[in-house]
Amino acid sequence: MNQATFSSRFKRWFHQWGSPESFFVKSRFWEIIFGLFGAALLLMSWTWGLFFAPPDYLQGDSFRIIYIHVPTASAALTFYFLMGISSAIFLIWRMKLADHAAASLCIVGGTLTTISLITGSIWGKPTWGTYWQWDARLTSMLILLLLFLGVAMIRQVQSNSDRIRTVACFIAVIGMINLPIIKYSVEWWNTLHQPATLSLSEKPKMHISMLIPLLMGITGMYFFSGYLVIRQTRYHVLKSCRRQGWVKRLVKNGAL
Amino acid sequence: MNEFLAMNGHGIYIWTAYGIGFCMLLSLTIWVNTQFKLEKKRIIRLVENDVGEPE
Repeated sequence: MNQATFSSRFKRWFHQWGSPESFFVKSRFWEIIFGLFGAALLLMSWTWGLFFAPPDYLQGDSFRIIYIHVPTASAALTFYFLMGISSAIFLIWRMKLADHAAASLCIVGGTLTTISLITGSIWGKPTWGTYWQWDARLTSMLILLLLFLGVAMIRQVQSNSDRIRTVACFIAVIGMINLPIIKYSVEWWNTLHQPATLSLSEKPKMHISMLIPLLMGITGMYFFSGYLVIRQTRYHVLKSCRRQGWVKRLVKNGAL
Repeated sequence: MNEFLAMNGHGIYIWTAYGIGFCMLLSLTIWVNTQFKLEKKRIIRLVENDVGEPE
Protein backbone atom coordinates (compact mmCIF):
# COMPACT_ATOMS: atom_id res chain seq x y z
CA MET A 1 0.00 0.00 0.00
CA ASN A 2 1.60 3.31 -1.01
CA GLN A 3 1.58 6.36 1.24
CA ALA A 4 -1.12 8.27 -0.71
CA THR A 5 -3.56 5.34 -0.51
CA PHE A 6 -2.88 4.90 3.20
CA SER A 7 -3.35 8.61 3.81
CA SER A 8 -6.69 8.75 1.92
CA ARG A 9 -7.92 5.60 3.69
CA PHE A 10 -6.97 7.06 7.07
CA LYS A 11 -8.76 10.31 6.26
CA ARG A 12 -11.89 8.42 5.21
CA TRP A 13 -11.76 6.28 8.38
CA PHE A 14 -11.21 9.37 10.54
CA HIS A 15 -14.16 11.24 8.98
CA GLN A 16 -16.44 8.20 9.22
CA TRP A 17 -15.72 7.76 12.94
CA GLY A 18 -15.86 11.53 13.46
CA SER A 19 -19.51 11.64 12.41
CA PRO A 20 -21.77 11.36 15.51
CA GLU A 21 -24.27 9.13 13.71
CA SER A 22 -21.61 6.76 12.41
CA PHE A 23 -19.89 6.65 15.82
CA PHE A 24 -23.15 5.98 17.66
CA VAL A 25 -24.08 3.05 15.40
CA LYS A 26 -20.63 1.50 14.95
CA SER A 27 -19.45 1.81 18.56
CA ARG A 28 -22.31 -0.32 19.88
CA PHE A 29 -20.54 -3.56 18.90
CA TRP A 30 -17.16 -2.45 20.31
CA GLU A 31 -18.74 -1.28 23.53
CA ILE A 32 -20.03 -4.81 24.26
CA ILE A 33 -16.71 -6.45 23.33
CA PHE A 34 -14.68 -4.01 25.48
CA GLY A 35 -17.03 -4.40 28.45
CA LEU A 36 -17.13 -8.20 28.47
CA PHE A 37 -13.43 -8.70 27.71
CA GLY A 38 -12.37 -6.09 30.28
CA ALA A 39 -14.61 -7.44 33.05
CA ALA A 40 -13.44 -11.04 32.42
CA LEU A 41 -9.75 -10.04 32.50
CA LEU A 42 -10.18 -7.97 35.66
CA LEU A 43 -11.99 -10.81 37.40
CA MET A 44 -9.24 -13.28 36.43
CA SER A 45 -6.47 -10.88 37.46
CA TRP A 46 -7.96 -10.12 40.89
CA THR A 47 -8.75 -13.80 41.58
CA TRP A 48 -5.22 -14.84 40.59
CA GLY A 49 -3.64 -11.95 42.48
CA LEU A 50 -5.60 -12.47 45.70
CA PHE A 51 -5.80 -16.26 45.85
CA PHE A 52 -2.95 -17.79 43.85
CA ALA A 53 0.02 -15.37 43.48
CA PRO A 54 2.79 -16.00 46.04
CA PRO A 55 3.47 -13.33 48.71
CA ASP A 56 6.31 -10.89 48.07
CA TYR A 57 9.59 -11.72 49.87
CA LEU A 58 9.84 -8.20 51.31
CA GLN A 59 6.30 -6.78 51.52
CA GLY A 60 4.47 -10.01 52.25
CA ASP A 61 0.79 -10.13 51.34
CA SER A 62 0.27 -6.35 51.18
CA PHE A 63 1.87 -6.36 47.71
CA ARG A 64 -1.43 -7.84 46.37
CA ILE A 65 -2.83 -4.28 46.28
CA ILE A 66 -0.64 -3.88 43.16
CA TYR A 67 -3.33 -5.65 41.08
CA ILE A 68 -5.78 -2.79 41.60
CA HIS A 69 -3.37 0.12 42.17
CA VAL A 70 -1.11 -0.16 39.10
CA PRO A 71 -3.89 -0.84 36.50
CA THR A 72 -5.94 2.16 37.70
CA ALA A 73 -2.90 4.47 37.84
CA SER A 74 -1.74 3.40 34.38
CA ALA A 75 -5.20 3.83 32.83
CA ALA A 76 -5.66 7.21 34.58
CA LEU A 77 -2.45 8.58 33.03
CA THR A 78 -3.32 7.25 29.57
CA PHE A 79 -6.85 8.66 29.80
CA TYR A 80 -5.53 12.11 30.70
CA PHE A 81 -3.24 11.92 27.66
CA LEU A 82 -6.20 10.91 25.46
CA MET A 83 -8.33 13.70 26.98
CA GLY A 84 -5.59 16.18 26.07
CA ILE A 85 -5.42 14.87 22.49
CA SER A 86 -9.25 14.96 22.12
CA SER A 87 -9.31 18.48 23.54
CA ALA A 88 -6.61 19.58 21.08
CA ILE A 89 -8.63 18.07 18.18
CA PHE A 90 -11.69 20.02 19.36
CA LEU A 91 -9.72 23.25 19.67
CA ILE A 92 -8.16 22.89 16.21
CA TRP A 93 -10.94 21.34 14.10
CA ARG A 94 -14.00 22.05 16.33
CA MET A 95 -14.99 18.39 16.03
CA LYS A 96 -17.87 17.90 18.46
CA LEU A 97 -17.27 14.18 18.90
CA ALA A 98 -13.76 14.97 20.21
CA ASP A 99 -15.31 17.25 22.84
CA HIS A 100 -17.79 14.52 23.86
CA ALA A 101 -14.90 12.04 24.15
CA ALA A 102 -12.90 14.51 26.26
CA ALA A 103 -15.87 14.99 28.62
CA SER A 104 -16.26 11.20 29.01
CA LEU A 105 -12.52 10.61 29.49
CA CYS A 106 -12.54 13.28 32.21
CA ILE A 107 -15.18 11.51 34.33
CA VAL A 108 -13.73 8.01 33.93
CA GLY A 109 -10.10 9.19 34.28
CA GLY A 110 -10.95 11.20 37.39
CA THR A 111 -12.51 8.15 39.05
CA LEU A 112 -9.51 5.97 38.15
CA THR A 113 -7.11 8.57 39.59
CA THR A 114 -9.14 8.65 42.83
CA ILE A 115 -9.05 4.84 43.11
CA SER A 116 -5.31 4.85 42.40
CA LEU A 117 -4.63 7.49 45.09
CA ILE A 118 -6.82 5.75 47.71
CA THR A 119 -5.41 2.25 47.09
CA GLY A 120 -1.86 3.64 46.96
CA SER A 121 -2.40 5.44 50.23
CA ILE A 122 -3.75 2.28 51.89
CA TRP A 123 -0.77 0.31 50.53
CA GLY A 124 1.56 2.98 51.93
CA LYS A 125 0.60 2.30 55.56
CA PRO A 126 1.98 -1.28 55.87
CA THR A 127 4.88 -0.56 53.46
CA TRP A 128 6.12 2.92 54.45
CA GLY A 129 4.36 3.33 57.81
CA THR A 130 2.33 6.31 56.59
CA TYR A 131 -0.78 6.88 54.51
CA TRP A 132 0.54 10.02 52.86
CA GLN A 133 3.82 11.72 52.15
CA TRP A 134 4.28 14.89 50.10
CA ASP A 135 6.75 13.23 47.75
CA ALA A 136 7.00 13.97 44.04
CA ARG A 137 4.99 11.00 42.70
CA LEU A 138 2.11 11.29 45.19
CA THR A 139 1.86 15.06 44.85
CA SER A 140 1.96 15.00 41.03
CA MET A 141 -0.80 12.33 41.05
CA LEU A 142 -2.85 14.56 43.35
CA ILE A 143 -2.36 17.42 40.87
CA LEU A 144 -3.63 15.07 38.13
CA LEU A 145 -6.79 14.47 40.17
CA LEU A 146 -7.23 18.22 40.68
CA LEU A 147 -6.86 18.75 36.91
CA PHE A 148 -9.52 16.12 36.19
CA LEU A 149 -11.81 17.68 38.83
CA GLY A 150 -11.16 21.20 37.53
CA VAL A 151 -12.01 20.28 33.95
CA ALA A 152 -15.15 18.38 35.10
CA MET A 153 -16.30 21.33 37.22
CA ILE A 154 -15.81 23.82 34.40
CA ARG A 155 -17.88 21.57 32.12
CA GLN A 156 -20.63 21.43 34.77
CA VAL A 157 -21.01 25.23 34.76
CA GLN A 158 -22.77 25.27 31.41
CA SER A 159 -22.27 22.16 29.33
CA ASN A 160 -23.88 23.64 26.18
CA SER A 161 -21.72 26.74 26.03
CA ASP A 162 -19.07 26.65 23.33
CA ARG A 163 -16.94 29.09 25.31
CA ILE A 164 -16.99 26.86 28.42
CA ARG A 165 -16.03 23.82 26.30
CA THR A 166 -13.14 25.76 24.81
CA VAL A 167 -11.87 26.79 28.26
CA ALA A 168 -12.18 23.18 29.56
CA CYS A 169 -10.30 21.83 26.53
CA PHE A 170 -7.62 24.50 26.85
CA ILE A 171 -6.98 23.62 30.51
CA ALA A 172 -6.89 19.90 29.62
CA VAL A 173 -4.19 20.56 26.99
CA ILE A 174 -2.12 22.77 29.32
CA GLY A 175 -2.40 20.12 32.06
CA MET A 176 -0.59 17.58 29.86
CA ILE A 177 2.64 19.16 31.16
CA ASN A 178 1.99 17.18 34.36
CA LEU A 179 2.20 13.79 32.59
CA PRO A 180 6.00 13.60 32.07
CA ILE A 181 6.42 15.00 35.61
CA ILE A 182 4.39 12.06 37.01
CA LYS A 183 6.21 9.54 34.82
CA TYR A 184 9.75 10.69 35.65
CA SER A 185 9.14 11.96 39.21
CA VAL A 186 10.62 8.77 40.68
CA GLU A 187 13.82 9.30 38.65
CA TRP A 188 14.20 13.07 38.94
CA TRP A 189 13.69 13.25 42.71
CA ASN A 190 14.39 11.01 45.71
CA THR A 191 10.93 9.67 46.42
CA LEU A 192 9.37 7.27 48.88
CA HIS A 193 7.48 5.77 45.94
CA GLN A 194 9.28 2.90 44.23
CA PRO A 195 10.42 3.18 40.57
CA ALA A 196 8.14 1.92 37.79
CA THR A 197 7.13 -1.73 38.21
CA LEU A 198 7.12 -2.35 34.45
CA SER A 199 9.21 -0.83 31.71
CA LEU A 200 9.15 -1.37 27.96
CA SER A 201 12.95 -1.16 27.74
CA GLU A 202 13.88 -3.47 30.64
CA LYS A 203 13.30 -7.09 31.54
CA PRO A 204 10.58 -7.37 34.24
CA LYS A 205 11.93 -7.77 37.77
CA MET A 206 8.81 -9.63 38.95
CA HIS A 207 8.40 -13.38 38.94
CA ILE A 208 6.19 -14.65 36.11
CA SER A 209 3.53 -15.92 38.57
CA MET A 210 3.10 -12.33 39.81
CA LEU A 211 3.64 -10.66 36.44
CA ILE A 212 0.92 -12.45 34.42
CA PRO A 213 -2.01 -11.38 36.65
CA LEU A 214 -0.61 -7.83 36.68
CA LEU A 215 -0.52 -7.67 32.87
CA MET A 216 -4.03 -9.14 32.76
CA GLY A 217 -5.20 -6.51 35.24
CA ILE A 218 -3.68 -3.63 33.26
CA THR A 219 -5.18 -4.89 29.97
CA GLY A 220 -8.53 -5.56 31.65
CA MET A 221 -8.65 -2.10 33.21
CA TYR A 222 -7.93 -0.46 29.84
CA PHE A 223 -10.69 -2.43 28.14
CA PHE A 224 -13.26 -2.02 30.91
CA SER A 225 -12.72 1.70 31.35
CA GLY A 226 -12.64 1.98 27.54
CA TYR A 227 -16.14 0.49 27.60
CA LEU A 228 -17.24 3.15 30.12
CA VAL A 229 -15.75 5.92 27.97
CA ILE A 230 -17.50 4.64 24.82
CA ARG A 231 -20.81 4.32 26.69
CA GLN A 232 -20.54 7.83 28.15
CA THR A 233 -19.53 9.30 24.76
CA ARG A 234 -22.59 7.63 23.18
CA TYR A 235 -24.71 9.28 25.90
CA HIS A 236 -23.25 12.72 25.07
CA VAL A 237 -23.81 12.12 21.34
CA LEU A 238 -27.42 11.13 21.94
CA LYS A 239 -28.04 14.12 24.17
CA SER A 240 -26.56 16.65 21.75
CA CYS A 241 -28.19 15.13 18.64
CA ARG A 242 -31.78 14.90 20.00
CA ARG A 243 -33.05 17.26 17.30
CA GLN A 244 -31.44 15.42 14.43
CA GLY A 245 -33.28 13.19 11.98
CA TRP A 246 -31.00 10.17 12.36
CA VAL A 247 -31.94 9.80 16.05
CA LYS A 248 -35.65 9.78 15.13
CA ARG A 249 -34.93 7.28 12.37
CA LEU A 250 -33.18 4.98 14.84
CA VAL A 251 -36.14 5.22 17.25
CA LYS A 252 -38.66 4.48 14.49
CA ASN A 253 -36.60 1.50 13.29
CA GLY A 254 -36.29 0.24 16.88
CA ALA A 255 -32.50 0.42 16.62
CA LEU A 256 -31.75 2.93 19.39
CA MET B 1 -10.66 -19.08 56.17
CA ASN B 2 -9.82 -16.58 58.92
CA GLU B 3 -6.13 -16.97 58.15
CA PHE B 4 -6.80 -16.25 54.50
CA LEU B 5 -8.84 -13.13 55.31
CA ALA B 6 -6.18 -11.94 57.77
CA MET B 7 -3.40 -12.30 55.15
CA ASN B 8 -0.68 -12.27 57.80
CA GLY B 9 -1.96 -9.06 59.33
CA HIS B 10 -2.30 -7.22 56.02
CA GLY B 11 -5.89 -8.30 55.34
CA ILE B 12 -7.45 -5.07 56.58
CA TYR B 13 -5.40 -3.05 54.06
CA ILE B 14 -5.91 -5.44 51.16
CA TRP B 15 -9.68 -5.88 51.57
CA THR B 16 -10.25 -2.16 52.20
CA ALA B 17 -8.30 -1.24 49.05
CA TYR B 18 -10.14 -3.80 46.89
CA GLY B 19 -13.50 -2.95 48.50
CA ILE B 20 -13.19 0.78 47.84
CA GLY B 21 -11.81 0.28 44.32
CA PHE B 22 -14.49 -2.24 43.37
CA CYS B 23 -17.34 -0.12 44.80
CA MET B 24 -16.12 3.00 42.98
CA LEU B 25 -15.83 1.15 39.66
CA LEU B 26 -19.27 -0.41 40.16
CA SER B 27 -20.83 2.96 41.05
CA LEU B 28 -19.31 4.57 37.95
CA THR B 29 -20.59 1.71 35.77
CA ILE B 30 -24.12 1.98 37.20
CA TRP B 31 -24.11 5.79 36.85
CA VAL B 32 -22.91 5.69 33.22
CA ASN B 33 -25.46 3.02 32.27
CA THR B 34 -28.38 4.69 34.09
CA GLN B 35 -27.67 8.03 32.44
CA PHE B 36 -27.55 6.42 29.00
CA LYS B 37 -30.74 4.40 29.52
CA LEU B 38 -32.70 7.39 30.88
CA GLU B 39 -31.70 9.53 27.90
CA LYS B 40 -32.71 6.73 25.53
CA LYS B 41 -36.09 6.33 27.23
CA ARG B 42 -36.67 10.07 27.12
CA ILE B 43 -35.98 10.32 23.39
CA ILE B 44 -38.09 7.23 22.60
CA ARG B 45 -41.02 8.69 24.59
CA LEU B 46 -40.76 12.04 22.84
CA VAL B 47 -40.56 10.54 19.36
CA GLU B 48 -43.32 7.94 19.91
CA ASN B 49 -45.72 10.49 21.42
CA ASP B 50 -44.92 12.71 18.46
CA VAL B 51 -44.60 15.74 20.68
CA GLY B 52 -42.68 17.39 17.88
CA GLU B 53 -39.00 18.17 17.93
CA PRO B 54 -37.42 17.19 21.21
CA GLU B 55 -35.95 20.27 22.90
